[in-house]
Amino acid sequence: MARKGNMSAGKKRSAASRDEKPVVEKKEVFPQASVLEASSESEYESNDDEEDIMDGDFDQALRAMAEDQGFDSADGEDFESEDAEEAQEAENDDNEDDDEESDIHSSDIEGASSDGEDADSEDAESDDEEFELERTGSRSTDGHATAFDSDAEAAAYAEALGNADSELLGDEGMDRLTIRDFGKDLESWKSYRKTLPQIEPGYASDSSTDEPVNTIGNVPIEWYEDYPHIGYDIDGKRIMKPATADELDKFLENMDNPDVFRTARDEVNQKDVKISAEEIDIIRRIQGGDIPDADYNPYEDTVEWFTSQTMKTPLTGAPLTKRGFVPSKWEHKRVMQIVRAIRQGLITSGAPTEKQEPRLYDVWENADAQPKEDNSRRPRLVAPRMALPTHEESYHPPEEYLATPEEREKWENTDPEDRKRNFLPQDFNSLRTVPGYENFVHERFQRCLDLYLAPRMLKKTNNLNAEELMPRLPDPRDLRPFPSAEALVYLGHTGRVRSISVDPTGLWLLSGSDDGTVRLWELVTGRCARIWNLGDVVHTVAWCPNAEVCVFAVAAGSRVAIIIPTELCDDQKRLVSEELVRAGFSSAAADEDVADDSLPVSWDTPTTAEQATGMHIMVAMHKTVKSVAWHRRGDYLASLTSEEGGSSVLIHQISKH
Amino acid sequence: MDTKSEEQVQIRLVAKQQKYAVPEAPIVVPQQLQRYGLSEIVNHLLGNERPIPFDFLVDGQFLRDSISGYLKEKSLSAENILTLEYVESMLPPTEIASYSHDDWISSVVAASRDKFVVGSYDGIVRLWNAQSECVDTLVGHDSAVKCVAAATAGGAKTRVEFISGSQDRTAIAWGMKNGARKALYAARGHTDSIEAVSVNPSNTHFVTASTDSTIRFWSLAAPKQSEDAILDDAETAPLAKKRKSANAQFMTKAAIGTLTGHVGAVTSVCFNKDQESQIFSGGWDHSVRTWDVASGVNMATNLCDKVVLDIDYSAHSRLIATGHADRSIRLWDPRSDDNTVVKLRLTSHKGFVSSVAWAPNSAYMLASASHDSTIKVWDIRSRTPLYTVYPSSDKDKGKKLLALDWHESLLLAGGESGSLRIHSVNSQYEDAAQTLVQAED
Repeated sequence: MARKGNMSAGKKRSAASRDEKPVVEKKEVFPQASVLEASSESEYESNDDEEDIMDGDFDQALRAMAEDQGFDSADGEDFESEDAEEAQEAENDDNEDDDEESDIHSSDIEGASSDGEDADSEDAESDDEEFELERTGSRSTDGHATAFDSDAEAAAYAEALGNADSELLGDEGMDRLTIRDFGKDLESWKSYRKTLPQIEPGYASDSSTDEPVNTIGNVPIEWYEDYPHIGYDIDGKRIMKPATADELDKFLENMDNPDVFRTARDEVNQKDVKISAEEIDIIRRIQGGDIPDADYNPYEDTVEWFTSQTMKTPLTGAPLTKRGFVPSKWEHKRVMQIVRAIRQGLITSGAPTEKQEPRLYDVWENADAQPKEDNSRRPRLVAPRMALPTHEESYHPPEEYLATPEEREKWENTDPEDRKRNFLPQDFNSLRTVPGYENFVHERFQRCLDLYLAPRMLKKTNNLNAEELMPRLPDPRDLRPFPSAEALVYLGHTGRVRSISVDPTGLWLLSGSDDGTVRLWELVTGRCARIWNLGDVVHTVAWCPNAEVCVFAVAAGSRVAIIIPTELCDDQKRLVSEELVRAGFSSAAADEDVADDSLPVSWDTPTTAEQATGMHIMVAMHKTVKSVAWHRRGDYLASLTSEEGGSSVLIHQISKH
Repeated sequence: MDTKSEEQVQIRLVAKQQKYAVPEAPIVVPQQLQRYGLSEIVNHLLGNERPIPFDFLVDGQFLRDSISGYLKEKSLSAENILTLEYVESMLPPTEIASYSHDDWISSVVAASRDKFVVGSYDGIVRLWNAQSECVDTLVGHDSAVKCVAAATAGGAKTRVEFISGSQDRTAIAWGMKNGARKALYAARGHTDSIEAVSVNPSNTHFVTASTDSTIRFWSLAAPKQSEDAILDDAETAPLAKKRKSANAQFMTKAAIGTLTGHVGAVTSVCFNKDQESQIFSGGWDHSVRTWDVASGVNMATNLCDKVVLDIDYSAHSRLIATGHADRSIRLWDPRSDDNTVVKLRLTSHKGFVSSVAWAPNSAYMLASASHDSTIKVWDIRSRTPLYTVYPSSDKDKGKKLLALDWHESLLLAGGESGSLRIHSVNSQYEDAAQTLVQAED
């Protein structure tokens, strides 16, 4: 009984709190995030369902009452809009509103009870206060409306209901309450618990439901107490009060009416409502602190959700855990985190902005990084397969596979490592008689060792033949022209010929040799026209590229000789050539002070005998002259001197030294 | 083989030389017959006691293979009558004498059958007679003599006999003056070695080619007085005084004209024997040029890819033969409009072809001397040489031949070895050549 009362009170309270609590919280938490709001709302609604399940029977009772008043309990949308309205109101000061709301309810109940017993009204009021406290407390603790512990609270609520004999449904606050409860809870109740016969509104109930709904709107009736009308219709016209009898007529009517004790006045519709016997029975039960539903058995057999018997493979018989329908605290925290982040602008809606590549970047940024070898790209090497069993391994092999005594003896005498196979074929009558294989573990171990220790390398074979490795040589025919036949041999030198040079006209050839001579050859015939003996190894001979003059340089030993082959040039050419080689000496004489012994080069005039052979300048250097080369204008001469410890390039000017 | 040997062909034998004429009726001979077999047939028909070797011409080309080979090469039918012209074979040249020199022979010319002029690298021009005697030794050049040319000009008192060109940039005309052979004058003007000299057929002028890339045109007659003044006018005056060469004592002759156009050394020059004023020259610029000396105009330039080392013109065949550094001989037709086309290229030498000489009395015969020390005698109707004359003495073997001259039946060659090789060539073609020339005229 106490439990019943608790539940009823809880229902009542949950109905009251449901109107604003979730909405208030929503508004408070998600003022901007509409998506989140929607999802959380649905979650709260589902929780409502849970509550309804628990409080279903009471709802049923109230529902029946509400149907008497002609309210459509299935209309859920109205409730939603009401929720929204209230949410708007609650946005500013939810606590005040909360209190106000509950005050409304309690005053409703109070009002209802005041019609009945005045004495009880005091208790109801005080109880209401207590209830108020309790309710807020319970909400603050777990926010769920099912846990009621206070008996007084439940009793007071039941009493308040029970006292609402005549004007139980006359209050608009009550209307809203019931409408909300019934509409929401019916479906869930049916699906979870006992199925009661469907009550058809207007037919199944003995309450008259055919009269039109009050059309004056949500206006307190008291405002029109002194007026002949009770309000205005939608067109603004007055809705007149039905003609009422005076007190005497009422009395007389009451006297005549046997059902007067169960007639209640519906102020809104301005008519008397007759309470049916069932309703009276329910009211009585409530007044008696009993369960309103006569069919409800509070002492049903216990369902043992958790039995002492342990089933081997239990089907899931466990009740739904609380966690399944309680909004997750942690999820809520997580959502709050996201919400805060959104508010701070850390999370922005819309597509994530693409990370822009910097317009300028370092090309060599990763140049030094060695490309990592990707092992995953390597083809996986499959472990070598074990050989498939053959007839020898059969339990009943053909006779030719069986070992003869000699073979057996031989097999036994060989070292296990040298045996071709590590077993001898054996014959058994049936598979049943085959004993366990004693080497099984050993063999598996060996196999594991093979797989583990033998490196599986991908052997690369080069399918190259030797010809492909040879560089591809071009066809000699494509390389023409090239010298293909020996044309001339210039015979005469007795030492290695180190250098040759063709004169600018192409008619004469100079060659320098280790025998200390320079030879001048007629190019086309191979006739030696002249021999100069320089007495030292001739490293290089070089014609002056200037066609105006006929001069060549010879690097012999540590000297460079500038020679004019007089027989090759005509008078004019000889004059020009001699002028060239003499110019240097005249300029050197002009600025003698510049001459310095520290210079690595000394320009000397050869001896008269040498001059007769055409030598005009003898450039002596400290080291062996390996090479000389003319500038194409024919005035500058570069020489390379070389010895251990380094070489040096000297550039000489013939006309100025 | 058997079937092949039995294949036969009808031939008709024709001879230009009347003394070797045979009946013109076609005869059937085996296709396998070669020159020797055909020659036997002709000798048999002629009834010669002593067989005479013949060469056979088919369609103007010598038959060098068997008849079947020729038919196969030309893809001719064996059923037609093949006309074979036969001529008496030229006998191989026989070496008559070898005159030894101290230095390389650079040039040789036979003024007559008894007078051979040899220019040598020692700067001396020697005069030999047919009896292996050095008639004269002419010293005058400062440097190697590069070319000699025979000439006949002047009166009884002063007669120019030959001209020599030298590396000392002068050409000296040698001749008899007052009963003594001496240098008559020195032709000066070239700035570089004179490589070739050629006298015109009427012996009035000569041209010299030089490595200074010019050709100069001179009159042959000895000047009355030294023409230094002309030369000095032409050149810078102060240089004249510097001239201190050994041959300065000779009278100086100045050139009538200078032909410039070659872009490299001019190695060879020769007169057109049919047309006095026309000369041909070849040089290191790969060109064979035709000049009109009277006007000094370069009339034609024929180009090949190789250096021209020697040039000779045949009055009989009217072709130019050139010896090249690519070891080949090229034949040019100077009258051809298509002046770049080489008419024939003869390759057999293994060295530079240093000298070429047409046979003086044949339209087909040609001799060439090469650095491979061989002389080859060609008939231009055959692409292979008729004869190759190898050096007979060990001294000559492997030595370059630099000079060649064909005078009548004498073939003179000299070179690195210093020996003047004189060969006798039978002149059986004389009649044929003469008849050919007459026919063309």
